[in-house]
Amino acid sequence: MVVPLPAPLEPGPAPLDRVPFQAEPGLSPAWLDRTADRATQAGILLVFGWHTTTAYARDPVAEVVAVLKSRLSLDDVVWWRIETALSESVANALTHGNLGLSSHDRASGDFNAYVEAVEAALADPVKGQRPLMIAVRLIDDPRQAIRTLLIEIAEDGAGFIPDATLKTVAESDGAGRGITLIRELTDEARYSPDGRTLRLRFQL
Amino acid sequence: MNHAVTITGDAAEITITGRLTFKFHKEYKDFLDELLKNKVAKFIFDLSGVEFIDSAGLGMLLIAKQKAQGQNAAIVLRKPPENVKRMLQVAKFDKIFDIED
Repeated sequence: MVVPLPAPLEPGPAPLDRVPFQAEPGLSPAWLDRTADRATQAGILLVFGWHTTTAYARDPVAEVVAVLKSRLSLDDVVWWRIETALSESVANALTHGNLGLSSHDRASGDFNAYVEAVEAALADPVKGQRPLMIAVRLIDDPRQAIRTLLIEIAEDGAGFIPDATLKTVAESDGAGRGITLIRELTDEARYSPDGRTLRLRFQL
Repeated sequence: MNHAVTITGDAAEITITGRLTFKFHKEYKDFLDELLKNKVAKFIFDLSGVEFIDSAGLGMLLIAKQKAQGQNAAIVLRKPPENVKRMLQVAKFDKIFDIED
């Protein structure tokens, strides 16, 4: 199955290879290495894809971060920001996007109901098979000695249009915490117009 | 996410290892239901083996606190590693939880 990549929100300094989305049983490390080896010096494009049920069974965030750590040297706090923002983004894309669940109440009784709702949605043949894609670009600008890490997280559900009035993480409660964390930890976080692709930017 | 529980006198010590994230909601719910059958005065969560926690993980800790309080039990978070400590501080959980190093 070949699914077009979400269109990059701005052109990069080097041509990008369009990489097919590999269907189940998943991406092999050899495939990822071949993909990375085709990249030019000015940018590395890595694309990851999973169906929602697979994303829950495996650990997409840990997989992406492990590949990035093998290619980039950054300090611990920066890795923590990247991994946390990515984890929040993926959680939203899967639960709110692909599975179509609304933010759950943190009260104990509703927590149990929420867990049941997740299981039911994962078992739904349409929702459970919706794709999650993560595309990573590293852009080197030698003139300014700046490196930009772009991570795009794309889902195929209802999309998400965030509330413009975001509080800080400490003030927000319940489900709003994820979005506010993303904003605090990234240099920029922007949704595509349909709300299905979230692009995170980290200046390194 | 893995967990082990030890009851010593009036306290339950829970060792959680691995990643405390949204994908473990179900496992956590099942584990918490079992845990709360212990009517102890104190629940101590040893977080030293937690590699990573997301906002869902923060929510899971909050739910543990609410349920513990519902049983008149105290809750303590012990030895959070650097990553986890950072997250607890960003969320100001150090103001609402008893955290021991």
